[in-house]
This record gives sequence, structure tokens and C-alpha cells, in this order.
Amino acid sequence: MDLLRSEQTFERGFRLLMSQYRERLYWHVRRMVQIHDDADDVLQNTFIKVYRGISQFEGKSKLYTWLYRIATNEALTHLQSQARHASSSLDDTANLLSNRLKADEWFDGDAVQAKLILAIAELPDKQKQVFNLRYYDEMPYEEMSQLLTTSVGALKASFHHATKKIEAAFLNYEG
Amino acid sequence: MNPKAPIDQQTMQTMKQEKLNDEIAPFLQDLKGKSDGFKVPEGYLEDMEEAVFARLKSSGDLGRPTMNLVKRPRLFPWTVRPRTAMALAAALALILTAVWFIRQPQAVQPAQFVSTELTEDDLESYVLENVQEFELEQLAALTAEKTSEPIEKVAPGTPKKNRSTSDEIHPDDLDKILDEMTDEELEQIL
Repeated sequence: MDLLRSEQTFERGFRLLMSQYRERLYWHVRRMVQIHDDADDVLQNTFIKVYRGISQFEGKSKLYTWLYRIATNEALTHLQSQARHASSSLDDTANLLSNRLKADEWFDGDAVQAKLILAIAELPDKQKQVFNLRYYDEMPYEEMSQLLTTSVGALKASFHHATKKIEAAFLNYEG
Repeated sequence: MNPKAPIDQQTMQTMKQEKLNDEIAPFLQDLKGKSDGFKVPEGYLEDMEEAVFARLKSSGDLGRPTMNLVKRPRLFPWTVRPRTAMALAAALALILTAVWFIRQPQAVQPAQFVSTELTEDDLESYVLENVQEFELEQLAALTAEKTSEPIEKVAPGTPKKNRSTSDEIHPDDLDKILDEMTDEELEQIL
């Protein structure tokens, strides 16, 4: 952070920040938007917003928490824009994503993995974040509570509902 | 096993995994063991910095002065943030104002004390000079107060004739005074 405080060292500091957090943020964004090209757009937009707004970062929260929130907002904006696009076409959001996933050269999962991704995509935004953080990142609820500013109890309930919905989606899929 | 012994990384990972497995269905546990099917182009993350800086350059954001972070001096850098400091200052000002108001009546007490030192004659002359300022009831109350005061001061058992004030005239004295008065004086009175 000290490198970001001087105009002379700012670029070096910002490059360091990106190299430190890019992978973690990429996977967070990728699991939100599923498609690599979309994740690439969202991540670049995230870092541009961070660059423009870093002078407003007051250090009240951890730097990763601040970056995570910007990335989440960008991902949600992207998903909303996709949903608007889907509603204006004949396709629904799930079908659109399914077709794009099949066409994505950076996805080589089987039908079951694709089904899991689609089931996660159907979850409400908060449940999707909680499920990804718990299931993929295995983040403890206490840490997640600080990141999402939500109580541990509410997070556990969100995760429970998310797994039940995914189970139901798989039962329908197998039936 | 010593319960106070530090838990190694692998044990911690296994415990986390077991805890998570309790929360999810078996098929999700099975899926977790496999890859999620997502891939990333080779060198993509390494090239991310250049891609971001290229976009910043094309949008004209690169080198904007707003990115220059300067630590702003804080009012009380060793303890509190400026907002907290302002809130504390406001609270202190309120407390001081409240104390000032509470102490106000004590400040005027000497003036009240001085007023109690006024003699009865001073008060009487003030009332006479400003008699038009007083209501009849107030004057009556003052008179009643004045006349009742000597009665309270008389000790029980004192003879009635000795209770009269110097302004009162005894019937025997009245005859004497009337005898001494001239005819002209008597005409003036009547």
C-alpha cells in the first residue's frame, strides 16, 4: 500500500496489487459469471474501477474485502445486463447460459459439472456468493461474515437453502 | 494425543473438509473431489496487468492526479478519527453549557442576600413611593403582615394593655389630648 501513496511508485504498486489479488478475484468472478470471456471483462473493469477509486480507499476494511465488493458489484451488473438481454430475446437466461457454456472453449466439464454450474447460476445472488465461498473456497463462516457483512447464522441458512436448491435441481435433472 | 499440541496443516484441512461434508449432500461431496471443468488460457493472469494498463491508457485515465494517495493529517492521529473528534468536541461543548446553566442561580445569590439586608423603613418608603404599582390585595397583604408581626412576638401571658404599639392611643390619653387641643384644631379634624 505504501507504493500507492506516492505518484512516482504508484504504477509499480498497482501492478503489485493486481498480481497479488488477480487469481483470487478471477475465480470469484468466474464462478459468478461462468464464462471465461465474461470473467475477463468483469475482472478488467474491476481493476479499472479500483485504479480510479483507490484514493478513496480509507483502509476501514481489509483491502481484499474492498476489492471483493467491487468485483462482486461488477459481476452482478454484468449478470443483470445479461438477464435484460435474455428477456429481450426468445431465450431464457438458463438456456442462454447453457448454450454459451457448451460453446465456451475454456470449459471442458461433463454433463454433471455443467448441471452443477447451471444450478448455481439459478441461485439468488447472495446464496450464490455464499455457496461459492463455502463450497469452492472452503471459507470459514466467521471470515465470510466480515466479507459479506452478514451474520454467521444468516450465512449458514443461506448455504443450507442453496444446497437444498441444488439438490432439487439435480433430482429434476435425473428424473 | 496431547490436546494442547498445535494442529498441523493437513489435519486442519481434513477437519474443514469433514465439517463441510456434514453440510452438503453426498453427490456434492463427490463432485467436489473432481475439477469443476473451468480452464484458464495459458498466461492469461500474467497478461492481465498489461491489458488493464492498455485500457487505462486508451481511456485517458493513466496518470490522473486523483490516483496520487497522500495521507491526510488527522486531527488527533494518536487516538481518534476526525469525525469522532468532532463528536467528542460537540459533546464536551454541551456538557460545558449544561454546567454553566446549572451554576447560574448560584451566581445571583449574593444579589438576593443584599436584598434581605434592606430595612423595614426602606421597604416602606419604596412601597409609598411606588404605591400606584401595587394591587390593593398586595397592599392589604403587606398591611396584614405588618400588623400580625407584633402579635407573634408577644410572649404568652403578657397583659393586654402592654401589647399596644406606640401608634395606638389609650382612651384615657385621648381625653387628655382632646382637652389640650384648641377649637381651631378640632374644627380641622372634624
